[in-house]
Order: sequence, then structure tokens, then C-alpha cells
Amino acid sequence: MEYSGKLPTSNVNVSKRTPLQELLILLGGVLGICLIFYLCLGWAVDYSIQHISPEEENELYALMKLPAGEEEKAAGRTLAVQTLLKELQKCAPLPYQVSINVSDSKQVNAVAFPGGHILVFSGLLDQVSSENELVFVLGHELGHFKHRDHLRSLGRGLVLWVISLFLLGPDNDVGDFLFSALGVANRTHSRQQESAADEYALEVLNCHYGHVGGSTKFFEHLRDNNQTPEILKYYSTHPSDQKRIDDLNALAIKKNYKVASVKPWVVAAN
Amino acid sequence: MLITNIEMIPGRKIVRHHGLVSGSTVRAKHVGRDIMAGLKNIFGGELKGYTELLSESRKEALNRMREQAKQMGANAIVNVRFSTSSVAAGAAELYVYGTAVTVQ
Amino acid sequence: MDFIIFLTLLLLGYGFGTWAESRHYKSIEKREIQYQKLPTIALKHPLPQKGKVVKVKLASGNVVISVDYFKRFLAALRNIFGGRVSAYETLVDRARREATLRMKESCPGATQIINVRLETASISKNSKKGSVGSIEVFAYGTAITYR
Repeated sequence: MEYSGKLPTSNVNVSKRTPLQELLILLGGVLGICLIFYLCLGWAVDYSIQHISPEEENELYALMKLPAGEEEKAAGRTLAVQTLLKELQKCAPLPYQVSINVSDSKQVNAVAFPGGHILVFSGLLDQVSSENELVFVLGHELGHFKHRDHLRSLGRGLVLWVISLFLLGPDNDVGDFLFSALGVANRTHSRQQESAADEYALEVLNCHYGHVGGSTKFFEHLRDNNQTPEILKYYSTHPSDQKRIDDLNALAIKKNYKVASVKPWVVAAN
Repeated sequence: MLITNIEMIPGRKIVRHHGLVSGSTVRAKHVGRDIMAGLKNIFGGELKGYTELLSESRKEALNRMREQAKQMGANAIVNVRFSTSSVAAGAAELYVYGTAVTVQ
Repeated sequence: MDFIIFLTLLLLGYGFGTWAESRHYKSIEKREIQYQKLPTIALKHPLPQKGKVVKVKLASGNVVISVDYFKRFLAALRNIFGGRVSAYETLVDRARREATLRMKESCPGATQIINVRLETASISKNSKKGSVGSIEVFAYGTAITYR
């Protein structure tokens, strides 16, 4: 017997494929599966939302604690906004008991909470130059209720979370990665919702005043004050202000809405 | 003491069997090594601390087995086998066993 | 923010991991050629050899190697689909060859090493479900020196 001591010419125990190739194939597969899952469940959520009555929704959310914000001191303004909203509801019939509160905050924003509750920040009231502008913002929030977007985004978020939990278990690097990837898709969806709410607001505005003057004022102001870098738009949940102005103008022309002078927003100081 | 993992000692003749002998040790790694290992978990590569720890532990288990064989009056151990099992998180048992014999 | 940290770790893992792996393979191949002529077999009986046995010793070598962050991620992805986890192939291959080489280096002057056994144990950082990450390979055999 003799020992030859020859070494093998190639390593048979290691695959020829490079790790990078492997990564691309696997990532493609995972993202594809997640997207299909997400779309299917997303549709299911959208469908089932139609079957949840506003009463059930109210009961559901009564169980949760929602941020009410600090009440504004100037009660007169709150009262004025509430009166305005009551008038608006003639133009926007909703199956909700819509309530509105003014929160003392510098933010120029309004938020639609589940259960038909709108929170307006006083920064918004300080900034609006006309009643029409305010009506547009309120109409936008009413549009969210009309389309039940608050339920939708909640449902989709839940779907995303369930997928990640199912596939990977809690606290997983891969899960976090997928979450941020699909989050971008979710934001595109959210931008569509915002545009739809804008459209509804325009209708409300036209119904209330008979014209759509002042509809773009709010976004014009935002655009002039806010310099968001171009790259961040991809991550934004709302469409860019300029795009919203353009869309609104185009829509007003398409629907033959008139534009007339605006009514000033004055509240007796108290 | 001669130790082999075959059934004989080449060049010697086994004259008496003494039965099974074994040595074992349970070791846990310490925190410092764990931190280094945590870094290596990102970059990959050899965890020298663990390599040393395990090789020292095996040496200790072998020494214990040798001690046992000596007490039984043997001068060699044949057919030695090693086995590793994790007892708890961060601790491992290293076990070595073989047959104690007397050779000429 | 978490995502940026994750990407950085992934890139670092890929860069350093690939570099360390190719360096390790080079060293393994060099040393394998050096020990090419030392018979290392898994038989229980020594190869026929002229001369007298002067030394019998248990030769052993061990190594603990960890996989890098990138390959760990790859393996986690592979876990979803199942199939060949090629990310860990080089890890076990390197560990086994390195341990065998260290066993050969532990007995300078030996004529042959017989009945070689390899033992693999996975070392998990914590008892989290099946996180392989790093493995230990222990190689041992009987080194016989003839003269």
C-alpha cells in the first residue's frame, strides 16, 4: 500500500454561486411573496371596512385612549369652528357624529381621529387668511372620514405587522428590513388617500359657497414656508404641496367650478 | 501515559484491561470573551478566545481521565472518544472516555 | 435609523467577511501543500511502514469560526424558502480543514495520523432558536512516529 497524498483540484463542498447572487435571488423572492401577501390582505381589509358600521367603529375606539390634546384657552374660536363644521355637514352627509376640538399647539395641521373626531391645532387657525381656506381643510378631514382612511391605514399597518410576525417572528433584522421596504409602498397608498380627500374637500367647498375660491391658499402657504429636499418626497406620506395645488386647479377647471372672492375669517376676540 | 483513539498501541502488546475511564469538565465563557465574540459575529472569522477555552477544557478533561486511569493502575488508554454537549446557554460540557489498559 | 445601522452592518459584514475568508483559504491551501506528504487516514490500522514505532500520541486540533453578519442575513432569508444554505458552506468547510491542519501541526515529526475523527458543535451566543452563527470543529487522531 502506498499513500499518494494528492490534493483535490476543486472544492466540492462549496457552491459555485457567489453570496451576492444568492442575496439578489432571495431578496427578489421574499419581496415578491410579501408584495403578493400584502396586496391580497390589503384588498381584504378594504373590503371588510365597508362592513364595519360607524357605530361599531365608535364602540371599538371607545376602548382605546386617544390623545385629546390641550384645549385652547380661547373658547370663542372653538365655538366658531364648531358652528362652521355644523353648517358644512349639510354639504357632507356622513354617518358619523362629527365633533371638533381646537388644541393649543403651534403646529399648522388638523388630524382626523377614528370615531369622527377632528382635532384642529391652533397654529392652523392663526395662519388661515379666509374662511374658505379653513372650510377646505375641514372638508379634507371630512373626506378622510367619508373614505374611512383612518381604518384603512390601521388595517394595512396590521397586515404588514402580521406578515412580518408570521414569516420571521418578532425582533428580526430581516423583518425590520422588509418593514421599511413595504412602508414605502404604504406611503404611496397614503398619498392616493390624501389626493382623494383633497377632491372631496373641493366638492364641499363648492357646495358651501357655490365657488372654490381660496381652495389652494392653504397649500400655497405651506409650500412657501416649507423647503423639503427633493429626495425626501419619496418618503413623504402626503403629495408635494405644488402637486396638490396643480391637481386642485385642474380639477376645478374640469368640474366647471367658479372662483370668486373669499370671505375673511374673523372671530370676535374675547 | 499513552493515549490513542485506536484499539491498540502500535508496537506494544496489551496485557491487561481495566475498564472504562472518563473525564469531564463543564466550562462557561466569560463576559470579555463574549464581547469580542459579538464583534466577530459581525465581521466573521476565528473566535480565538473560544478556541483556546475549548482546547484548555479538553486538556483538563483528558487530565482527569488520565488521573482516573492511574488510580486504576493502568499505563495506557485506548479507543478514546470525545463528545461535546451544551449544558446551558453559554456553558458546555466536554467529555472524554476510553478504555484503560496496561501495556508491556 | 435602524435600517441604516442594519445596512452598515451588512456592508461591513460583507466586506470584512469576504476579505477574511479569502485570506483564510489562502493560508489553508498553503499549509495543506506543506503537509501533503503526511498520511492522514480514517482507518483503524496503521499503513504498512518500515521501522520501529518510537512514539504514539493523541493528536488534536480545534477551531471556532464565526460567520459574518452578511452571511447570517443570507441564511435567515434562506430559512424562509428552505433548500441549500450555501452561506454556511464555506464556514464549515474552512473550520474542518483548519482543525485538521491544526491536528497535523500538533504532532511535528509524526509519520502518519490514523483513525482521524472530526466533531462539529454549534456554539450559539444565547439559546435563541437555532442561531448557528459560529461552530467549533475538533479533529483528533492517533499520531504514530516510526524510525
